Amino acid sequence: MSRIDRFLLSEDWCLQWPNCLQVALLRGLSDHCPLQLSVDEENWGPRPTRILKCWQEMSGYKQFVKEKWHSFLLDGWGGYVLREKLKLMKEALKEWHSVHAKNIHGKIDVLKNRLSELDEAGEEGGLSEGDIVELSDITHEIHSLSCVSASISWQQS
Amino acid sequence: MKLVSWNVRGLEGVEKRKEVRKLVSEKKPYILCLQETKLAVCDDILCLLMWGDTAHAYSYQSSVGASGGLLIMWDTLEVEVWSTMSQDHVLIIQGKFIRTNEEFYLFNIYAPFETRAKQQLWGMLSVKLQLLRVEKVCVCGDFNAIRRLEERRSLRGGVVTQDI
Repeated sequence: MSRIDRFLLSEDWCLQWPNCLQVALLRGLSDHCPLQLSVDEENWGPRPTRILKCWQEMSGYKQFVKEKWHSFLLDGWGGYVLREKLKLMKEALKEWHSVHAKNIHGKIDVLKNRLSELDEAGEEGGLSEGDIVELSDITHEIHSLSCVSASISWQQS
Repeated sequence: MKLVSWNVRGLEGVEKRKEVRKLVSEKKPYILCLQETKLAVCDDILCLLMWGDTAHAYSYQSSVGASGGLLIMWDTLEVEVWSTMSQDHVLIIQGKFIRTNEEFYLFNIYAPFETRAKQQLWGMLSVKLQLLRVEKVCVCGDFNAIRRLEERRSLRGGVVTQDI
């Protein structure tokens, strides 16, 4: 059937009711479908993509996003390509998150254990130069992971 | 809030009226816009039959001979209408949604087939819409026109032209 029936809405209408949805209902005796325009206050559309603020602070994140974004090669008009790329990006970020930003507390515990091992060795006076470098790296790492963890709990609270 | 627009292709038959009744009782629209009623007169009895006995009001434009004819019915508990205007191929109501107190204009359109007449209608609508450009306006109905060729899908080989 040709699309000759429609609802056209003014800009102000759309601003007032941004969730307008137009659907064609089943036709019966008429050769036209009834059209329904509904404003569903409950329907906020698709779930928005969320990002965690702390991702940007984590090393490798910006590079990852840049490379992923350019690796998606899609054909079509601009709006379509953008939408599809954002969809793919969302999936890629989910994976990146589970590798890099999940189980922060577990990661901190592992580092703390290693730290205590090194501390004990230090008390016995047996720290190599490498150990000392590692000690400072671990302290640094624990600090940044704690910041990430604090940022996530703040954003999700 | 819900609006329904439908080209009924004639309301003379009882069956068609029953279909409208079913549509209203199922969808419970605030406003129902019908095109091609093919009726010279729409009266209280007809509207009661189609809308049911809940509070309602209506405004209509007579058909020209056996063609055209527009009807708008609305739920008076949800919508208050204070002005209606009828002009060639267009029936306009102005009012507000009671719950939210938002004012609006609603145009119910049944566009003619002939290109010349259609162009005239578009011209008239443009002028009106230009005047209402800061208002909340909904224009609905049968435009007898597609906007892009993909929108043409006719079983009979169409009479529609791309000219919106």
